[in-house]
Amino acid sequence: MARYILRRLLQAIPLLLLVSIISFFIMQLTPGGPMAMYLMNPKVTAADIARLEHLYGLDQPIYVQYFKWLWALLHGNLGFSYKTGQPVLAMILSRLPNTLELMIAAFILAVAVAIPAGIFSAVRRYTFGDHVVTVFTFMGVAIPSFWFGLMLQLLFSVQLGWLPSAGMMTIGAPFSLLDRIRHLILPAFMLGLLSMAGWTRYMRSSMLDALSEDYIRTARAKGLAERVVHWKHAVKNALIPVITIMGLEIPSWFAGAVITETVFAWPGMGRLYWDSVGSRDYPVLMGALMLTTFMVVVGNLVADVLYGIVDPRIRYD
Amino acid sequence: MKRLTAIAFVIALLVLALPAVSLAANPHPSGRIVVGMLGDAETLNPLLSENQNEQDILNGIFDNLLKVDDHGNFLPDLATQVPTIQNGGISKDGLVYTFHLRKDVKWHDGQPFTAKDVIFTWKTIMNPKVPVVSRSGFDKIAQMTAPDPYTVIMRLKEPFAPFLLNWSGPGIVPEHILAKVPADQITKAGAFSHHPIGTGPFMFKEWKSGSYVLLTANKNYFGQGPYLSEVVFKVVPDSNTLLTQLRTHEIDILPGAQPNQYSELTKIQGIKILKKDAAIYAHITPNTIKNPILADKRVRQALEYALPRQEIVAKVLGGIGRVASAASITPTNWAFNPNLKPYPFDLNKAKALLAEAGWKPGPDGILQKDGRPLKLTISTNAGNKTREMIEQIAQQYWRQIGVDLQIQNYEPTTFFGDILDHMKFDLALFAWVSPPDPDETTLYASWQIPDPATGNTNGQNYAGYKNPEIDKILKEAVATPDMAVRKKLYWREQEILHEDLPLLYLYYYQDIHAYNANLLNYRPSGTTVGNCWNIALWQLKK
Repeated sequence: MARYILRRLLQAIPLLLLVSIISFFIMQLTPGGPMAMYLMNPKVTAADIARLEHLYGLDQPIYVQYFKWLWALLHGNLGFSYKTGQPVLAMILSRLPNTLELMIAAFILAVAVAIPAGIFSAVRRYTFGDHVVTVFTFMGVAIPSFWFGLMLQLLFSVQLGWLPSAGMMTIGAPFSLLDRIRHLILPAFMLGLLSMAGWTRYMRSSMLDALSEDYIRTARAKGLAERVVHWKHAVKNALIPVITIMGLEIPSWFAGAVITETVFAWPGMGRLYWDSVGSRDYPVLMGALMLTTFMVVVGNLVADVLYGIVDPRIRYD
Repeated sequence: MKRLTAIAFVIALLVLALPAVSLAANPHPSGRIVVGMLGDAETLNPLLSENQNEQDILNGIFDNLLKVDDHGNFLPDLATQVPTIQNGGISKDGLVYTFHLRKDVKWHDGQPFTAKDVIFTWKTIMNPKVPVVSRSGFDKIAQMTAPDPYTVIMRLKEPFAPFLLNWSGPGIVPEHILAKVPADQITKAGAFSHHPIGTGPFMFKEWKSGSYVLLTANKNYFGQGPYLSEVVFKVVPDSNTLLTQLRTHEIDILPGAQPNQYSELTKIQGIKILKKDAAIYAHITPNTIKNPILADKRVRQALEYALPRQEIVAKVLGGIGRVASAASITPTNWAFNPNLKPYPFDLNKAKALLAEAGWKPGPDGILQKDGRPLKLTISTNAGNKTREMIEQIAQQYWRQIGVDLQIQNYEPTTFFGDILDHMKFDLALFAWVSPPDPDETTLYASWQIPDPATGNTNGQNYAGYKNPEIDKILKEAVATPDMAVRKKLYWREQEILHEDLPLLYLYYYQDIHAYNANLLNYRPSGTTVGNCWNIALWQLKK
C-alpha cells in the first residue's frame, strides 16, 4: 500500500510541472497584465510603470520569469504578491484553513443529510416519503447556488434573525466555537447543497442495487431483523461507489468556494484566487493553482485508498 | 416665561456652537460604527496605499498638513492654517510654501509630532528604494527645510498650482518609527503596513485579512472628537450581501450602493439615504488617430446630438446621475463652468452636421463618403450592465442618423490594460474619476497622447486630441497659484472642450450612500477625498 501511494505521488510530479507550464504561459498571454490597474491613474507616469515592472521582474522574457519562479518554488518559495507585497505562501496559509473549515463543515452537513436520506429513499422506494426526498434532491441540483445563498440570508438573517448574514466571526470578539458555528451554518449549507442532492441520489440507487443482491436475500433468509439487514449488510456495500464519487467531487468544491465565499464574505482561498485573477497578481494565481492541482491529486488518491479499505476485494500493490 | 424661553434659547445656541469652538479631544467616545466595503485593504501604510477603501480607513488613522472637505475646500489639519498668497504662506512667484505646524499633536505611541516627520515623509516618498506608486507633485520640490520644529518651508523647482493637494489626505508618517526601518523594507508587507501608528482620531487595533479592520478612539487626539469608541471597516465582497447586511444592521454604512438597489434601500427602516454628486463622469472616447472619421469635429458633435442622454439618465440609471454639460470638470469642482449647457437631443441637427461634413446616404441607409461607409465600433468593459445598455441605445439612435455602430466588448483588465492603453478602439465607453484639482493635463494635452505602437503610457489622452490653445491654457493654469486666474483659464478651457468634444460627455455620476439614521455628520465627499475625511466628527445620536 505504501509503495502504491508513493508511486502515485511520484506520478503527480510531471503532472504538476505540466500544469505549471501551461498556466504560467496562458496567464502571460492574457492581455492586460498586472500593471493595468495603474495605467488609468493620471498620477502614475510611464517611468513609474517601468520602475515597478523592473521591481517585479516583468521586464524579463517569459521563459526567464518561469524558470525563476520554478527555481524559487523548488526552494519552497512561492514568490511575493504584486498587490500586497506579502509572501504568497503566507497569504495562502492564512486563507486555506478558512476554506478547509468551510469545506469540512459542508462535507459533514452533506454526508449527514445525503446518506440517511438516500437510505430512507431506497428502503421506502415509491412511497410518499421517497417522492418528497426526490423532489428536494432535484431542487437542490437545479437551484443556482448564489441565489440559494441569498435566499438563505433573507430567511435566516433578515426574516428570522437567527444567524448572521455574512462574515466568519463577530468583529473584535475573542474566538468562540459557538460563534464560529453560527457563522458557518449558512455558507456550509450553500456550498454543500449541490453535493448533498447528488449524493442522496447516488446513495439511493446504490442502496437499491445492494438490496437486490443475493447476500441480502440470504441475510433475510437467516431470519435477521430488517434493521440489521439494511445497516449491516446493505449500507456498507452501497457506500463503496458513493465514496468514490465523493472523492472525485471534493476538488470541485474549490470552484464552488469562490461563489460561497463571495456571497458570505468568507475570507478563504476562493476569494484570494478570484481577486488575484482580476488584478493579474501572477504569483498568487500560480500559488493557488498549484495548490489546487495538488489537492485534486491528493483527493483522488485518498478516494482510491479509502475504496480499498471499504472494499476488501480491492488491493493495491 | 418669555424670559425663560429666551434663556433656554441662548443656552441651546451655546450648546450648538460649542463643538465648533472647542478643539479638545472628546474624553468619552462611545458606540461603534461598521462601514461596509467591497474590497479588502492591501496596506495601511499611507505612502504605499492606492485604493479608495484604504484611503477611507487611513483617514481614521493618519493626518496630513491639510485636509479637503466635501465642498473641495482646504482646511488646516496638522498645519495651523492653509497657506495662501494673501497670508504669506505662498510666495508671490508660487515657488515657496510655508507651513506652520500645530504644537499639540502626538503620535499614537505618545511621541510628539514635529517638522522632522514632514521632511522624513517627503524623503521617503522620493526614495527610489521605496515602492511608492506615484511621486507626482512631490518631485516638484527642490528643497525642504525646517527653521524650527514647527515650521516647514518647501521650495519648488517650478510653480505647480495643484501642489497643496499633495499635502492633504492621510499622509504624514512617523520619523521615529520608520527611520529605523531600511528603505527597501518599507513595503506593503512591512511591519508598519500592518501596525500603523498615526496622529489621527482613531488608533489601529486589528486587521483580519479579508474580514475587517478595527480602529479604536484616540483619546489624545488634538482636534475635535472622536465621538465613536470604535469604527470597523468590514469587507463584504458581494453587493447583494452588503445590502442584506445593512438590512440586518450588521453594517451601518453602505457607501456607493448600486443604482438598481435604490428602491430596495427606501424600504429599509432606520436608515438615511443620501444622493451625492460625484466627481466621476461617463463618456465615450473617440480615437481620432486610429479612425480618421472621428477626427472631424462635426462627426463628434453629430454623435453627441444623437444621444438621448436625458433618457439614459432617467431610464438606464433610474434617475441617479446628471446629464453632463459637455465638459469634464464636474459640478463638484470649484472650477466648474455653469454657463455651459448640455447638447440637446436633436437628430435633425445631427443629420445636418453629418451632411455638412460630406456624408451622403448610401443604398442601405448608412452614410457614405468617398465610398466608405460611416461604420464605427464601440467598446467597454464587459459585464458592466449600464454601459452595455448605453451601447445598445447608441446603436439604435445612431442608426437613425445613418451611423452603423458595432459593439465589441472586452473583459475589464483586457479593456483597460490593453485595448484602451494601446488605443485599439474606435469608441471607448468608460468613466473618469476627477481629482479635487481641476488640472486635466493628462487627458487633453497633446504631449499626453500614448504611443499606440510602443504602448508608452505617458498620458491618458486616448482620444489623440490636439489643440494648441488647450495646451497653452493647461500649462498656464498649473503655473499660477492664483485661484481667480486659474478659474478664468479653466472656464475658457471648458468652453473649448464644449465646442471641440474631444470626448463625448455622457453624464455625471451620483453616489448613493445609505447609513444608520442615528449616525450624525456623515458627509461623503463624492471625490477621491473619500467618505471619511471628517470621521473624527462622526457621532451616534444618544
